[in-house]
Amino acid sequence: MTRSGERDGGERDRPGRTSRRPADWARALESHQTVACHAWGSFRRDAENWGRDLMPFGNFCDESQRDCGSKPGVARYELPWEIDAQDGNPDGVVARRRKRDTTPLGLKTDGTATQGSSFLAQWDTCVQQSYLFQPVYPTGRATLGWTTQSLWDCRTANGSGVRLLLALPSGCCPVAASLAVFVAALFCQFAVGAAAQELSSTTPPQKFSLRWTSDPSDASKVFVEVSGLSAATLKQLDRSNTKPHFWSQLLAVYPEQEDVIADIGLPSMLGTYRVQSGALRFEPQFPLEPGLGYRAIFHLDQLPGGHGVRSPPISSVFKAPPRRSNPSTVVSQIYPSAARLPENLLKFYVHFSVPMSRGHIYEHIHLRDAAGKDVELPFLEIDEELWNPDMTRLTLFIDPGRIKRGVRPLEEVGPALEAGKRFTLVIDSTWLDGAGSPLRESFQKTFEVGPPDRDPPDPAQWKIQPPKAETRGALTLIFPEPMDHALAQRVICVTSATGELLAGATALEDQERRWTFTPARPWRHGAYQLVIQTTIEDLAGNNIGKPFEVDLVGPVQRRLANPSVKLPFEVH
Amino acid sequence: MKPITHQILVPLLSLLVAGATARAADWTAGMKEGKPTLKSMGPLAFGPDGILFVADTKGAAVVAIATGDTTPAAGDKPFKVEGINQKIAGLLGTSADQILINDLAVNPISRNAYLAISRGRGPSAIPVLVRVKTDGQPEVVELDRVKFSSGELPDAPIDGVVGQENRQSNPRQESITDLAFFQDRVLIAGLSNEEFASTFRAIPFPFKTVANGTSVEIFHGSHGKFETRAPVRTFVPFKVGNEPTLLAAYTCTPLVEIPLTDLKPGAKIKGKTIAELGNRNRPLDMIVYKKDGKDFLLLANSSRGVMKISTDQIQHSESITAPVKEERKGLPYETIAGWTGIEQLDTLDPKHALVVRHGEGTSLNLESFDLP
Repeated sequence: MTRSGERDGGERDRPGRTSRRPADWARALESHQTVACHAWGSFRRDAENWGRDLMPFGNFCDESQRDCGSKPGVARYELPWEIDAQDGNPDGVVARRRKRDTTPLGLKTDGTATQGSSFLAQWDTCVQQSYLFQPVYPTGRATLGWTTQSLWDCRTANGSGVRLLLALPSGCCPVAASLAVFVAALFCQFAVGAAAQELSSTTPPQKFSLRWTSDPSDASKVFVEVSGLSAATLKQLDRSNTKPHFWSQLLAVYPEQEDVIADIGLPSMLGTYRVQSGALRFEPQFPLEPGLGYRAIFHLDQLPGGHGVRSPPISSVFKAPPRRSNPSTVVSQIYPSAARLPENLLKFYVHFSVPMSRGHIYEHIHLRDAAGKDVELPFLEIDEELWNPDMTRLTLFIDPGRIKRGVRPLEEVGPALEAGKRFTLVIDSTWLDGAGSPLRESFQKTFEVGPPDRDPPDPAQWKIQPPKAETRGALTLIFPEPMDHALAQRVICVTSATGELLAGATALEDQERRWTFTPARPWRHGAYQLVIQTTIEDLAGNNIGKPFEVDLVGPVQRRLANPSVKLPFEVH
Repeated sequence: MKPITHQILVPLLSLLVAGATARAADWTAGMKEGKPTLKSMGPLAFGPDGILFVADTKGAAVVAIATGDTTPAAGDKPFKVEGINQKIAGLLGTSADQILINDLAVNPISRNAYLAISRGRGPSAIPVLVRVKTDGQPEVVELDRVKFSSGELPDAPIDGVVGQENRQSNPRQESITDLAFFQDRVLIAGLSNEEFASTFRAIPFPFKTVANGTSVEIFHGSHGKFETRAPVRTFVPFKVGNEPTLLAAYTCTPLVEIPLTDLKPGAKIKGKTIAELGNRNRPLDMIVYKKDGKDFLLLANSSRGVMKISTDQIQHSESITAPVKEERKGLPYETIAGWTGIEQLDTLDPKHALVVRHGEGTSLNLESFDLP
C-alpha cells in the first residue's frame, strides 16, 4: 500500500531557528475543518470551454482613484464564492492582476478551499487596478455558484474606502452596476471533525470521518485519517496491491498554491497509505510547510464497491501553524570592512546572523553610486550561488568582466567601481532567512574607491610581532594592506621550527590588516615559523608572487614555485 | 552540463583513449546497490546506458546513478508542461516558491526529462530527483535502492582547521557550475566561494575507490597582453575537425575553445577566444546538435536570448586577440526569436531541444522546441 517510500524529514530542524512547537500544531489540528459542500450554480460547462484566463463571472476591476501617497496599500475584497468541481481535484479561486499588468502579483487568496469570502490584495502604487478572479479545477466538469452583489466596499490600509466594481463578462468597469447575480441553489453542509454520507442505497449507511491528526510523540508529524470504514472495506483496502493512482483517487492531499493561474492538473502530495488502527491513514512523505494550507479529499465513490455512487467527496482542510514571524535576522558583517576599497576589488563576503535562503538572491543586493543610482549588473550572478555550507556567508564576486582589462564588458560598460567615487552596497530587508522570515532591517555599507591594486602581496613587507616566551601572548602579523578575510583566516598557520602545527586561536582585525594567533599553550623559547599558502589574496585577488592579471608584455612577473612561504621568527 | 548528442558522441568515442569502447559494456562496474548520499543536487548529465551523473556541491562529489531508464523512446512527442514548478510543489507538498530547479537533463535513450530539485531554500533543503515523461506528470525518482557509485572531486575542499584551535567546518565550498560526460571521463567545472580559482576537473569513469582525477587551471588571455584565471561557467564537449574540444563560456563572458587533449595533470590551459558574446549578458547553458549535416551550438543567455552559432568556422577561426569594438566579434551567430525566458536547456532528441522557461506569473514551463 505504499505509494512511495518514506524519507527522513528535517526541513524544520534548521540550525539557529526556533524548534518545533507542538502546542501550535496541536492547536491547529483542533481547529481544522472538514467540509462537505454541494453547490449548484446557474450554469454548467466543461472546464475546457471556459478558457484559461478570463472567467466570465470573475473579472472585475478597481477603478477608484485612491490617495495613498507613496505608501503601499492593502485591501480586503469581499467576494463570496462557492465551487464544487466534483472531480476529485482541488478547487478554489485565485485572484491575480490582469495579464497586461506586469507588476508582481502581490495577492493572497483564500486558496484552494471549497468556499471562501474574501481575498487580500496589496498594491504598491496608486494606479488603477484590475483583477481576475479565476477558479481552479484541474480537470473534468465543474459547477460554480456564487452569491454576490454588484458593488463591494473594501478598506485600504489607511482606512479609506475603496469601491470595487464587478463586471461581466470580461473587461474592465465601469458597467458593473448591472451585474447579473447568478445564484442557484446552494446546499452546503459544514461539519467540524466529521461528515456523514450514505454510500449507496444498497449499502447500510456508514459514518465516515476525515480528519487530520498527529503522531503522539511528535505533534508536527501530521497525517490524515479516514475512520468509519467497515471492517470488510478496510480488509479490502489492506489487501489492495494497486497502483499509486488508485490511492490518490481515493484519498488525495493538495497543498494550497496561490499563484496557480491555469488549469494545469496539479498532482496530489506524495505519501504513504496504510490501514492502521481501524482507519485508512495517509502520511505525507515530506514535512508540511509552516503557514501553508493542505486540503485532503476523500472520494467515497472510489472505495471498493462504491463505483457508480453519486456522493460528493469529503474535504478536510488543515492549516499548518505559521512560523513565528518576528524578524531578527541581520547582516552581521560585510568584508572587506575597510571604508576605502580598490577599483578592482574582487569580492565581498556578506555574513548573516543565521542561515539564509537561496534562490534569486541577487534581487536583494544592490550596488549604488553616490547619487543612489544602481550600478548595472556589477556582480557575477550564478544560479549556484556561492554560500558556505551552513549558508551564513555569501561570497559576492564583482563580475570579472568588469575587472579584467581587455574583455568586452569592461571596455564597453566600464568598471563596476570607479576610483575617486563613493558607492554603497545595499542588502534589502526583503531577503528571507532560512526559516522564511525577512531581515530585521536592510544593511548598507558605504565606501570610497581608490585606484586599482595590481601588485601581488609581498611577505617581505609584512611585520611580525613575536610574543614573549612562557606566556600565551598573541603573535601578531601586520600586513601593509587589507587581505581577503576568508583566505587570511584559512591559509596562515603557525608551526614549530620542525614543522609541527601549533594549536591556538586566530583573529583578523584592523580592517583585515592585523592577523593574530593566541596559542593554546604558552610559547617556549626558540624558533617558530609562520606558514602562508601563496593562494592568499589581497582585496583585488592578487596572490603572493602572482598578480590577478599577469602582464605578458610587461616586466617578467616574479613567480614562486612553492605553494607556501615560510616566515621564521624567534620567541624569547 | 549536457551530454553531447548521439551523432557527435559516437565518432568521438572511437577517438582518443584506447579501451574506452572495450569497457563500454561495463559502465556499472564498481557500482553498489543502495541509497546514495546526496547532500545537494546541482548540475546533471547523462552518460551511457541511462547512467545519470549528479553533481553534489555540498558533498564535493559526483554521483553516478544507474537509472535503469533504458527503454528507447517511442516517437518524438513534444513536451508542453505548464507550471512544472507548481506541479512539483504539489507533489512534494509545498509551495512553488520553495521549489528550485537546479538543472535539467534529458535521458538520450528514453527522452525522459530529469530535474534536480531543491525542496526548500535553506541549508536543510531536501534534494529531490524528479522525472517527467511526455505525459507531463512529474514523478519522484526513488533513490532508496539504486545502483550507484561516487567520484570524489580531486583537490576538493575538505573539512579543515580554521584558526587552528577553532575547529569548525571549512567554510570553503566549491560550486559545480557544469558537468558533462565524455568518452570515459566526467568533466567538471567549478567555482570556489573563496579563491578566484579556475579549476577544471576530469574524473575517469567508472569511478575508482581512490580519487584519481585530473585538475587543471584554465586561463584567459586577453588581447595577447593580459592573462588571468578564468573559471568556466558552462561548457560542452565538441569535436572540432578531428580534435575533441571543449567549447566553454568563461565567467568573464568570452566563448573559448580548449583542446581536450590538453587536460593533463597539472596543466595550465589557456582557452582560445572564438567569440565575444556581448556585455550585460551571462551565458546559462549550451548544447550542440546536428542539422542538415552541419553542427551547431545553441547557447542560452540571460539577456541576449538563445544564440545559434554555426560551428563550421571554429576550426579555422582566429583567436580574438585585439580589442573588440564591433557588436559581434568572432564566430557569427543568430538570435533565435521566440526562445525567451530560458533558464535550462538540453537536447531532447535529434530534432528538438527541451527547455525550462518562464511562463505566466511565477510559473515555469517545461517545453520542447524544434531545433533551429
